[in-house]
Amino acid sequence: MATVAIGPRRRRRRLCPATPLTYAAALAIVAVTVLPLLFVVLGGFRTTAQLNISPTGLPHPWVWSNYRTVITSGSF
Amino acid sequence: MIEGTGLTAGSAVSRVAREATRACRRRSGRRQRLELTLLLGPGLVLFVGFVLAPIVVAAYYSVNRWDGFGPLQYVGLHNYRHALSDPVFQHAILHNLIIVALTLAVQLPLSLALAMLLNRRMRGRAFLRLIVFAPYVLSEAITAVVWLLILQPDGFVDELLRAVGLGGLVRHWLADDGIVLYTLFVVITWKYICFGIILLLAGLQGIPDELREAAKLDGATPWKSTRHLVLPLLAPTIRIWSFLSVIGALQLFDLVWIMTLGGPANASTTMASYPVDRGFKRYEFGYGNAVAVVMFAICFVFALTYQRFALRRDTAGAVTRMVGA
Repeated sequence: MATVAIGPRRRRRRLCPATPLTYAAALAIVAVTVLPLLFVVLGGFRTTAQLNISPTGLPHPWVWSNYRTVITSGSF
Repeated sequence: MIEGTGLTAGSAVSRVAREATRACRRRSGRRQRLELTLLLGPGLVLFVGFVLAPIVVAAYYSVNRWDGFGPLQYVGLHNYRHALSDPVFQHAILHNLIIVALTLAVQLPLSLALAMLLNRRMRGRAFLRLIVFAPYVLSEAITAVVWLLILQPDGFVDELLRAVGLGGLVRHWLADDGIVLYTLFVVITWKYICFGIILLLAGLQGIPDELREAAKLDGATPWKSTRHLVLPLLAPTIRIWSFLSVIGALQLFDLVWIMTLGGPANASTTMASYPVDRGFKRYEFGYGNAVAVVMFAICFVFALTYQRFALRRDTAGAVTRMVGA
C-alpha cells in the first residue's frame, strides 16, 4: 500500500538532477546565442565610427538617432 | 389478395427504393466530384502553376542559349555538358556535400546534446528554451548581415578572441578561401541548431518517464538507457530532421549570397548561388537554368531515395498508402 501511495510522487521526482556542469553548459549556450544579438542591438546605439574603433565596446555616448531615424522613416 | 398487394407493393417499394438509391448514388457521386474539385482544385492549380510549370519552363530554357533579351537559340544539351564539366560547378557540388556532411556530423550530435540538456529539470529552463530559439526567428538576410559585421577584419569576433588571449586564431574569416566554407557552416549552425533542438526536444518529451524508470530499475546506466532506449525512440525524429537538414544544406543560398557572393574565388559557391550568378549577373539564363535543373535532379533523387528507404517506416500508411485502401 505504501508503495502505491509513493508511486505518483516518485514519478514526479527529477530524473536528471541539474549539476554545476549543466549550468555551465547552459551559460555557454546563452552566451553563444545572445552575444551576436546583443552586438546588433547595442550596435544600433552607436555610430559607424564608434563601431569601427572598438567593436566590442559598449555604446559610450548612446546614439539614439539611429533607431529614431528607422522608426520614423517612411520606406521602413 | 393481401399477399398479392403485399407482393406488388413490396416490388413497387423495392423499385422505388432502387431508383432512390441510384439517384442518391448519382447525386452523391456528383457531390463527391464537386467536393473533390472544390477542395483539390485550388491546391492543384497552385501546385501546377508554381511548382510544375517553372520546372518545365526551366527545362525548356536550359536547352537554349539566352541572354534574357534576344531570341532563344536552341543548343541542345550543350549547357548540360558545359555545366557538368565546369570545375566551378563541380566545386559548388562539392561545397554542398561538405556542408551536408558537416551538418550531419556536427549538428546532429550537438542538437541532440543540447536537447537533452534542455530536457533536464533546471532553473530557468523555459527562458533557456526561448533564448535558444531566438536565432531561428531572425530572418536569413538579417542573420547574414549581422554575421558579416561580426566577422569583419578586426571586428567583434577578432576583438573577442584577442581579449581572451586567442589572438593567434584570428583569420580573414570570410576572405580566406580555405576557411570561408567552415565560417559559413558556423553561421548556419548558429541559426539552425535550434530547429534540431526543438524537434528533438519534442521527441524527448514524447518518451514516457516510465520507460526510463524501468530501465533504471533493471540496472541500466544513464549512458546505456540513452543509447538503447532514448536514441531508438528518437529515431523517427532524427530521420525527419536529417531529411530536412540535408535538403536545406543542398539548397543553401541566402547566407552565402549576402555574406560572400560565392567568393572569394568561388571558394563558397553553392549549387544554388552558382546559377543565380551565371543567370542574373552574366546574363547566361539558358546555362543558369541547366545548372538549376541539374540541382533539382540531385535534390529530387535524394528526396525520393530517402523517402523510399528511410522515411517509409515513419510515413507508412499515412503517405504511401491510400486511406481506406
